[in-house]
Amino acid sequence: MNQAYAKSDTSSTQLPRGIIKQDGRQAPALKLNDLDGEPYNIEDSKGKWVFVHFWATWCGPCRKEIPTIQDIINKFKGTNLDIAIINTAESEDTVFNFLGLLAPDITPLMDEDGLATEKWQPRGLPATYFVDPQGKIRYLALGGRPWNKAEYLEFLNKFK
Amino acid sequence: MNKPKFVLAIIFSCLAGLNAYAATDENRVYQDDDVYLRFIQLAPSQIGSFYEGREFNKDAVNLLMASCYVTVIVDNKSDDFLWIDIAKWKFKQGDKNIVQQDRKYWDKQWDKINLKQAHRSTFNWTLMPAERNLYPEEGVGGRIPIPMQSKPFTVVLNFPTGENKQGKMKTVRIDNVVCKQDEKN
Repeated sequence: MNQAYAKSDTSSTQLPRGIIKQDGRQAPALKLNDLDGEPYNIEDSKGKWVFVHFWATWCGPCRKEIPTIQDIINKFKGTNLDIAIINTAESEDTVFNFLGLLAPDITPLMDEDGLATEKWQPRGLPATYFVDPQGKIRYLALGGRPWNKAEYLEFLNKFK
Repeated sequence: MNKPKFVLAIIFSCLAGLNAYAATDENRVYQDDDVYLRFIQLAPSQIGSFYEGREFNKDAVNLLMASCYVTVIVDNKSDDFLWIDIAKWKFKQGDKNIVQQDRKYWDKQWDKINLKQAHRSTFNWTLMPAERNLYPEEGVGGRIPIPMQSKPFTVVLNFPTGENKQGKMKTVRIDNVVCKQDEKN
């Protein structure tokens, strides 16, 4: 990558800061139960865009980001953008207590052994992918993002 | 657990011929035009508390507390890809190389105590990625375990650059790193 490309890739295009376009590889499987025991399969979201987010309670940037994700869950409920929030390898008690304080409206999917997360090969935690209606990964967010800020809401609005 | 005494003393320096550097925050931060580094050193009791808080069992916590963890946060401030490749990060005490306790090492430890998969996964996520690129403005952080050291040591961080690592190697040398210890009663 030359330097000009590198700079424009993350900051000078119309994408919000930290959003990187992807090559459209097929999204890995994602079939988990949520904190209430309800099953979710990303296959059921075919035909919609999916915001796929991996996080853990011990991750500092996740703590900062999770309330902004709660905001967009409420904002995009019932739209063409599905939001899948996956906790990586923590217990129900830990997750319940954490979200009760910071984001009580979120009912995350529970990747109890962490293996579903590993299939997605995130660059780190938190990690967010945008999966298109055909099940292909189109965008990646680097680290935690303030999803309820205007530039990100404008980006998310394109998918609803 | 005892309240740990802060004993970290890191002095930053650049290798000859590299760009000037700026050290702030009592020598625990290194930054130049290309990279920002922050070092966080935790005492064994702090490491133990962290993993106990994640419900790791006593055997695992005892194993974890026996090692030293050099925790580094790296931000890519350059306009190009910067690579984390921790096999290229050297830990030295004089002429002696300190061998990193990599993921294979820990897998063997976990096998011995039959640590459950969820905790192996959590532990791995707290480690510095073994190898990955950083986009401009991207950051990453994680722990690098080494055997516990009683004397100061030097860390030489080599960062390949460029999309395919074809760029010039970026090198930062940090002297007088110590393993933080718990205060003894």
